[in-house]
Amino acid sequence: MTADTGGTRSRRGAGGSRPRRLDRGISWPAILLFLLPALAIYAGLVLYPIVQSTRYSLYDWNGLEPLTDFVGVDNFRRAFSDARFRAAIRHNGYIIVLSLLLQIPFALGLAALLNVKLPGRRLLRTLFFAPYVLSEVVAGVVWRQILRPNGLLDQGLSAVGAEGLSREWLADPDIVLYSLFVIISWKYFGFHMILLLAGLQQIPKEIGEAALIDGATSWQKFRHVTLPLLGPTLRVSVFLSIIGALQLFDLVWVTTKGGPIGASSTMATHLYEQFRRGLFGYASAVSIVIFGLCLVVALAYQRAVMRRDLRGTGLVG
Amino acid sequence: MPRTPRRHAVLASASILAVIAPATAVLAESPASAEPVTIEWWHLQNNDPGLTDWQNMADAFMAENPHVTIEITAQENDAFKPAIQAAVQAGDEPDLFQSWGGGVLLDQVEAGAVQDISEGVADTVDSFSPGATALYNLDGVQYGLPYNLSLVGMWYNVDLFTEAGITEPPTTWAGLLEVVQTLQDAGITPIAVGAGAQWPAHFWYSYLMIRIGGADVMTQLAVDNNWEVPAVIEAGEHVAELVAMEPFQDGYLGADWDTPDGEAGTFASQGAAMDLQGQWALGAYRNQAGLADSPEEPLPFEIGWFPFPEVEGGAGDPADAFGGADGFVVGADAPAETVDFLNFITNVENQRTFGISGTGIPANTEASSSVTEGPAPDGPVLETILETLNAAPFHQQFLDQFYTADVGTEVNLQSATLFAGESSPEEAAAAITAVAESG
Repeated sequence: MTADTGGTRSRRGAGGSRPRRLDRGISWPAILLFLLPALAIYAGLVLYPIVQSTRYSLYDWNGLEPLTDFVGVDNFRRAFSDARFRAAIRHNGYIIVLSLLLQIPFALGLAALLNVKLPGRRLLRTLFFAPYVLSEVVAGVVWRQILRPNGLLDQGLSAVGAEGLSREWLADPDIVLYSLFVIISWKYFGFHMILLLAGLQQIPKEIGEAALIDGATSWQKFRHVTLPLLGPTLRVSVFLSIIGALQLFDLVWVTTKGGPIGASSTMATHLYEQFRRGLFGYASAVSIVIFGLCLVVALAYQRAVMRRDLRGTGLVG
Repeated sequence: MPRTPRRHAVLASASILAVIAPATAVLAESPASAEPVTIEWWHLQNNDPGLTDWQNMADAFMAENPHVTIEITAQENDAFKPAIQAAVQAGDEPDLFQSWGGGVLLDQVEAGAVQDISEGVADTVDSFSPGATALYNLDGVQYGLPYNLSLVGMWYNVDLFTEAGITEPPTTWAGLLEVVQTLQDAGITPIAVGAGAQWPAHFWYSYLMIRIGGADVMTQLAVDNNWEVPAVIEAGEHVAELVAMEPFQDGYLGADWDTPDGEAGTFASQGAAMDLQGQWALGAYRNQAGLADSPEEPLPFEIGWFPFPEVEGGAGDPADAFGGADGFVVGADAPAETVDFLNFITNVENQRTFGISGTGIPANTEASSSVTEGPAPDGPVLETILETLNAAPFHQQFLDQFYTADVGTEVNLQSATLFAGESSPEEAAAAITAVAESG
């Protein structure tokens, strides 16, 4: 990108009889003036709330009384020792692990299948991508109906004589998280599939053909040619999956409200519960912890895994 | 966080009031009766028919008392609660406002935000359900009057009871467990509950506490913040005993209250024989049965109601009621006419309007028959509920309203956890105590 821009500029410079504003030097007051609206919005809607939350997190505060009861880091100590918050973090962790182990490989497999000439593959691509277009609320409501006791799934199971497999999909604390994972996967596998499909199509066919001529089996070709070349896309896909799992809220709230008895809580639903209880100070501390956790995971992943992919973007050193 | 600017605005207006106050104090020394006064009234009837009815009552009072202006602010329940807290904090509370009594009223009394109206209502207070007026009476001082009653009790499907060969509704806990067993033997799901919504589960846990501990223990809980007492633990044991029989509909742990696959839908579609709910449940059943627009048509089954059974050996009076009573309390700086207005809106005639319109159950016992004057296709169930209510020597407010949001939510969560069989009665009591003590 950088090289490109340079090229454009020099080309324009060579033929230019028009005045070239950029070459007259950077006018800082003008830059500041034009940045001001965006900066004001960013400061008002992002920075200020973060600063305020940090401040509130140091108080025992119910959201109404004056901010007087300074408790230092007590709220943070409480957050880290709160078994329900730790359970919520664990649930986010499960979703991440399951996504990486099942959802992405599944999406990759489908992408590989739909990358070969196949009758009706356009239709299949659209079908698989459709759930991603649905809003999370709609998906949650629909799945609630499918998974409810004696709902569509249970009726389907008994129609094929498998009613013994029926479970309380959303009401059993031991099962609900896996049910949610299925819903999340259903909603997002299409997105990852399209992403990976785009990645696959950028790999020049000649390389694969060369490998086949050299006597590679199609598995060897996939494993040693396709997969390495798909690396950058795969790493982005994994990154988006992790971030999505960390922020999980709407779908869970609509489907189970984090229940029953907190068995499907996530960090975000736990945070929301604390606000509903009127614990503004504690909830602020929880939000800071979540913010920190997401930041650390995102930065660590970018630096450790995506270093090569991000070179030149300024995101990594 | 978006609240901060508003709070500042409230504080600012409070300080402006503080500057103006000495000036008005001088003015107030002239004869009070002729001076124009304004009554600020905050209520929760933000829907018709209540909204219009109460505006009409205010208009009627203003017509009789031309020097009085009544300014009404009608807000939704969840908007009112934080707003009144902010107003009380700023010392700028309205003259007449919604209250549920209990812990929140106690805080308002301690903050000096409400006034003693014992004298002003001395002639009228006895016409109200005694348990309900008691919610607004702290240490012998009356701070407000109730206007709407609710009562939790057992709704049951008479047809399903008959099918299982049960002729009499149970009056004791042991009798209830027998009924559960008999229904199960007949292949009928005994109980619908929306433990996913949590608060319906808290009805069971709370009622057992009330029957076992009685008024004394319930009052003491609020004073000591200690829930690790025998009555609460025993209540948890009884919940566990019931849960062990697996009497609930499939998926009860994830079920909501008022949805087709929830508690109301299950009971209305005859998927369960009993349901422990408030008096408002009848409307929800009819709605679930598709009868919302046909007030003359009865439910497709005969519906009955009985009070929560007595627990053998419990200290509670079996007539004690669990539910709530909405009321109005009078702000500390309210003009004297406010009490007259409170007496006016809760008089027999106006409470009858409230009852006939179906807005609620009048707390004024002389007006209570009005609820049965609307169409009652499902028989005289509401009459039974009224009789039980009016005979109650002690009313326990819903625990999730009686306490702060934090404690109330914990009670609900622990109720659901007991229903899931995921905690012991001791653990549940300890968890509530931990939250209550931190508050």
